[in-house]
Amino acid sequence: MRRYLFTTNHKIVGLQYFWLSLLAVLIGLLLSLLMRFHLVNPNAKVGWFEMLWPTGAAGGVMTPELYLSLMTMHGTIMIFFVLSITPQSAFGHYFLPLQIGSRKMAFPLLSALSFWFTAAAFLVMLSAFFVPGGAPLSGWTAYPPLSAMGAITGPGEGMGQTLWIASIALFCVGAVMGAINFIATVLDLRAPGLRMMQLPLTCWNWLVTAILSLLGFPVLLAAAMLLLLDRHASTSFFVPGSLVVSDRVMAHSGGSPLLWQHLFCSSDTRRSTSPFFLEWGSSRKSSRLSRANPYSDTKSWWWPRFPSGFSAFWCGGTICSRAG
Amino acid sequence: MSEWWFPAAISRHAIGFDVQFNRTLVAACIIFVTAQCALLIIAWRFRARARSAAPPKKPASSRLELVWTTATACLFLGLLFMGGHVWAGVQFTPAPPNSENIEVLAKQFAWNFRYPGPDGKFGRTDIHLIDDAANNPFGLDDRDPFAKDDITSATLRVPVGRPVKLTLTSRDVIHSFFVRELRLKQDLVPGMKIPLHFQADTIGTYEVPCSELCGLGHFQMRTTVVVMAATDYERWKRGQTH
Repeated sequence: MRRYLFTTNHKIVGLQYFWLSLLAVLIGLLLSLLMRFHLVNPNAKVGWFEMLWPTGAAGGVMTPELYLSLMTMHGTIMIFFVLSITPQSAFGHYFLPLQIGSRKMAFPLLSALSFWFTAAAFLVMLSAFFVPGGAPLSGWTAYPPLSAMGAITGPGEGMGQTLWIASIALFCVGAVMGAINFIATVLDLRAPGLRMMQLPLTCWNWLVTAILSLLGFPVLLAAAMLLLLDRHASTSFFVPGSLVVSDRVMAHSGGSPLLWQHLFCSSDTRRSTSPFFLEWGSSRKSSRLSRANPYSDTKSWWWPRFPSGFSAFWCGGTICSRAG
Repeated sequence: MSEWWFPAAISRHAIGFDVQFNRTLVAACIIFVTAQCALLIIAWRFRARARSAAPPKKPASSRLELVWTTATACLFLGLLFMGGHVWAGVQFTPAPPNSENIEVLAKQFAWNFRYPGPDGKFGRTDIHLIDDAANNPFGLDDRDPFAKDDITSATLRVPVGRPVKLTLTSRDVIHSFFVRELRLKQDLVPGMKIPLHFQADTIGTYEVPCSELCGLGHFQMRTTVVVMAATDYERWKRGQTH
């Protein structure tokens, strides 16, 4: 058991990430099916709905707040725990050392820690379903002020939203650990004589994605902390003044909801580029391997990852700045 | 056909938007169909056959790859430039000076619209005077003479063929103003006053749903925009004045 759970072997860590993301995609799929079921049969009484969500589905009928929380959690799980970790963390941990001729990742303990932070984040995220008020209903982007003012803005915006933010913070810590590990592995643990220009394109993709992660996820971690402070320490980073919610004048002043959008989108581009990069690299590699010439493509085609990745990084922030 | 496609466009911006959308769709379809047909033909033409010799390996053509990558980039940037031009027509140009000024206030989960009345000026507001039960969602201050004739409405009414300048704001969370027939969508961000202008050219009643998840009652946050003949619009405004 210890060998599989608390291992630092890069292949097993990769498999752990893979099984975690597989579990996440199955849960995300189930939530999606429940949402479709509700749309087709809005008044259907289902016994086990009430067993799972005594308040959100009292009498077995799904309430609007439960529907919105399913939508929020579906989006969050799919974006963070499937799209973000499968291409980079699962495939990367398993295949990167093999593709560069190394026996391990640069920091094996960090590999294990990054996985366990991600697994803990997943458990915290799921636990939001089972607290009073239920899971948050502010969507996977958790735009403040809706996500910043507590239960006054709706059920699920109390403890459920707090757990959502804590989960994202844990996820960011794991992602940063992984990014440092990937960058160090590519730069330092290549087989003797294997130059950067000879790396398979998948390795270039993991490297550029890791750099983007290192730029994006610490920012999201800081944003999550600031949002927690807005919720529990009466700060106003994301909440402007003169707000009236449920006929009550709020005490916040001076914050900006757009600030969250800027900070959130800085990591958003990393999540969207990683699967695209992996597919791009692997498809080009497979097409080139058929010509028994695995390295020729790297020489001319490693560089587009940088303008693509960093323009996506820049565009994310720019588009967000126009959102208002 | 209308059930399968966009609702009718009722402004110049909406028509420009549709032209750009169709242009992008046609370009993408041509490339998609061409690429898939080429893939099928190549897969069939060079399929593995029993007893056939392996095809001779050809060196990769970096020039060919450079050509199609550059062509794709040019097409993408061209579409981006043309689309940006349509977008900027609303987002980066000021409203015409003869525009009808209307203030839009969103809250969980209702729309409110304010018109300046015969004096042409909006009156003072105070958040402490907000009272939804007393039909004062803006917190109009009756002590201000400019506020006395302000008109508030839960429905957006605009004159046909005349530019309208909206000033969008929210008093609680982020909402989004969306009229499909105008092809316009703009977030309402608390703490900000965001201008948006349009000119509706077809009389009718069109739905305005909130298109940003704003909480439990998001699904029921909707109103209508009524595009009226100029004379009907002026008559309606006179009828609303206190």
